[in-house]
Amino acid sequence: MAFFVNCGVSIAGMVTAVPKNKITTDSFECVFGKDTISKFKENTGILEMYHAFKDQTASDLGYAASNYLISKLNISREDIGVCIFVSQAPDYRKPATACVLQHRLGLSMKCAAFDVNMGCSGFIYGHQIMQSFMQTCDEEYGLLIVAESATKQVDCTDKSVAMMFGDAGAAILYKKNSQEDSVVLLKTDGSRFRSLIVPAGGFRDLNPPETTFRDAEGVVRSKFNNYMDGLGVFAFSITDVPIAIREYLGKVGKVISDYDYVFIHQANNMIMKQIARRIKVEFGKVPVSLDRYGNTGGVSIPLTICDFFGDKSAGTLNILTSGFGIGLSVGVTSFKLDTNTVFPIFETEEIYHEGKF
Amino acid sequence: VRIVDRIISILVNVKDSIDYQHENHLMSDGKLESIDIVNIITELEENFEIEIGYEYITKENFESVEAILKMVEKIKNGGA
Repeated sequence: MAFFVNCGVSIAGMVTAVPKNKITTDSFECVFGKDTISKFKENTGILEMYHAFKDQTASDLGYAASNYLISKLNISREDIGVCIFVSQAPDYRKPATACVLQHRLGLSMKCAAFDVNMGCSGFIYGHQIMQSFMQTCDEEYGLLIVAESATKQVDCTDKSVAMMFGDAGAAILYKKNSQEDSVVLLKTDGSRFRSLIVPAGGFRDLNPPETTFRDAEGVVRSKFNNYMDGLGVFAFSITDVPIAIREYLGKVGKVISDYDYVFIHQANNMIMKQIARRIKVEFGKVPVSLDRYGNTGGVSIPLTICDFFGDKSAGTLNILTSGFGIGLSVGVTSFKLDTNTVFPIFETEEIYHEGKF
Repeated sequence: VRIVDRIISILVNVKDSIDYQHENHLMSDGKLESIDIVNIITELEENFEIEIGYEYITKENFESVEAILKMVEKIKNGGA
C-alpha cells in the first residue's frame, strides 16, 4: 500500500448538488415487481435517488456546487490555483472537463485544471492529489470537484444496478493552513478490473454495436451499460476495505474511537454495516445518506458529510473516511473538519446548453 | 446443536423460501444472490466467531449447506 503524508493544507468548505429530479425505488415496481423491490429496499436501504436530466451532466452538478461554495465562502476566484474534476462521467472524451469548468466558473488562467478518472474511491484520491498540488502551489486555494451521473449508463432492467445509483456533484475547497497535516492510504488491485466495468466506449472497444445480449446472469445489457460482479465487489468491500482501515489506523497510531465519525462510501447498507462491524465502530457513528440519495460513487462521502452536517453546527471534528470500489481501489484518510463550513445539499436544474455541439 | 443445523437456521433466517437440505446449486441457480451472501457472511461470522476472508467468498463456497459447512470448518481449523 502507499501512504502519503501531507502538511499545510486543509478543507475550507464543501457543498453538494443533486439534480432536481427525485426518483423513488417504488417507482421501479412495474419493472421488477413488488417482492423484488421490497427485498431490494430491505437489503440495500435505498429508498430514493436523484437522476440527472437528459442533457444534464456530472459537470453541471459540480459546477452548481462550486459556484455556490465560492459565493458562500466569499473568496476570490483569482486565488484558486488548482481545479481538479474527479469523475467517470466527463462531458467529452477530450478535452478534460476541468478545463471547461475553469472557464464556466470564471477561474483565473493561472489555474491548473485537469481530470482524474476514479470512481467510488475518487474523493480520497482527489483529496490526496489536491493536497500534493497545494503544498507546492503559490496560490491560496484549490477546488476539488467530485461528480457522477452513473444513472446514464445503467440498463433499467438490470436489477443489480438499476435502483442502486444516484447522481450528484460535490465541491470541496482547500486552503493553505500551516497547522494541518493529513495521512492518506491508497491501494489498488487491478487484477479485479473486470468486477465493475463499462466495457465499451474506450479505445479498447471504441464503437461496438449497441445491440443487447443476455449475460451469464441472465441480464439483458449492452457493452455500454455498467456491469457489476456483485459477489466479487461485495467480497472486496467487506474484506479488503476493513483491512485497509486497520492498516491506516496502525500507520497513524490511532484507534477507531479517536474519531468522532466514520464516513464510509455509501455502497449499500449491508456492506456498510459489515465494514463497521469488522472495524469495530458502532453504526451510529457511521452516517448514512444512501437511503435518500442512492450510491453516488465518489461523491457519496462529501454528500454524506453535507447531509449530516449541512444544517447543524457541531464545531470542529475528527473524521475518518474510506472510499472504495471500481478499479478495484480503496482509499482511507482522516482530517479535522470545521462543520460550520459544510453546507446543506441543494437541488439544481443547471445545464450547460452552450456545451452541446 | 450441530454445526450443520446452525448453518441451516442461519440460511432460513436470511431467506426462508428455499429447501436448503436438497439444494446443491444455490448460487448457480440464482436462488441466493450476492446481497444474500453478505447477510449470510455476517451471520456466520457472528455465530461461529470467525472472519471469512476474501479467498472464501466464492460462488462455490455458497452453493449448498455442505459447501458452507466445509468452508466454516476449514476457517475454524485455521484454514488448513
